[in-house]
Amino acid sequence: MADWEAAFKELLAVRGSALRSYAYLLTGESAAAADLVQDALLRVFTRLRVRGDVEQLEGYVRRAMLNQYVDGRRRASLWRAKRHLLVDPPAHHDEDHAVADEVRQALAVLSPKQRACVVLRYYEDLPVLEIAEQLGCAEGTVKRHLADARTKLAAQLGTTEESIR
Amino acid sequence: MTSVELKNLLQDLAASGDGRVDVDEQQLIARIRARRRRRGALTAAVAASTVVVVAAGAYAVRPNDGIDRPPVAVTPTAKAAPAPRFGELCGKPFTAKLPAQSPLQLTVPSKVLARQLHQPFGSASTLLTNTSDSQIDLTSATAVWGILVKDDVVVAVTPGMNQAARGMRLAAGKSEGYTADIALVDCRTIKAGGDLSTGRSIGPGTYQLYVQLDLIVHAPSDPAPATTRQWTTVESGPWSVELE
Repeated sequence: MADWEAAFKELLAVRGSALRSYAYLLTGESAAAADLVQDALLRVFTRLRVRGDVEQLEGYVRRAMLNQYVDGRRRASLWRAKRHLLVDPPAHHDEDHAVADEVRQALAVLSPKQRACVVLRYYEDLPVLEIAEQLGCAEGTVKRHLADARTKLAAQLGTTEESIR
Repeated sequence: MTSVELKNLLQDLAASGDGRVDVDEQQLIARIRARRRRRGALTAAVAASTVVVVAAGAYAVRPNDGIDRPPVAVTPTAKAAPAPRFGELCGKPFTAKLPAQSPLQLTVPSKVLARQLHQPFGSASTLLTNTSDSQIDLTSATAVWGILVKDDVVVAVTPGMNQAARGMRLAAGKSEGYTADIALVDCRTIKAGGDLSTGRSIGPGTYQLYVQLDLIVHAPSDPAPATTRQWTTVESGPWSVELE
């Protein structure tokens, strides 16, 4: 087995679940999330020299996923190609799932960059500076995205903007 | 709702997504393997293009390579054929006439360049024929190199290949089939690094196909292993092919 293949299998075995979850948070759709994970893995592991441990590789894949996600053109084309395949997500009647659906719907109103900022800030616990580096923008831009996102989320979730700082 | 509560909700949502996101590991490995193979091979071909371009004159298998003498066993141990000259011709004018040679002739019986499903490649079937009246033992590459010429300029090539050698005994008058796979991407538009997806696809139409096969003809009096023998080339063209 080639080195890259062993690294690939180890990455999926150890961190596959985290990558899938991350993709789902970013996209909110299982099909789009699968595409995002697969495209990122394809991009990272197609490089001729795959070096590094699992943690480092996971970082590369996450960065590739983030870049692909916020790439509006790609997102739009994926959506155009696949929207006819999507069905409405099933309605959940238990409380936990209902809340998850509510959050998913709330996130859906955010722009890709706003959503990415929310995921990186509130799920990944990254500081603003690091988010700015990952997205290739200024800290002020990240702060603005987060403020706009908080306003939208507060409206969607029926809470106050100040409570989710 | 506090930021901690939002974090918890996001974690719940992420956890619920894990089971819904289906990643086909085996299919992905196959795709990565194929891309790495093509990319690595094309990189090698691009690197080879910096070497001096060899004139595309006609040249033949050496006539005194022992075809009239009893054959010896083929030793298919060679690992790689020499760098392809065709790969060096991308974007260059090419109007040579390369008539089929003797005693080994490489021909293209099919007039169609068939597109491969899900891959940016076109395949042409070729035949290596022993036109002599004696059997020939040889070691050859496993695939044929090809170039496509449009308006007298080379527009597409076979990307580099990592291929093993193939040994065979070709009886008098017999033929052996080979495939020429050509990337259906304008080779002039492929960016550094050799990623085919960076290039522009070539459209349907009629192209002139030139083919080339690297091989070693074994001389009975000198049954050295293939790895130590000199590779030579048979080639032919132009063959008019239609890309649908």
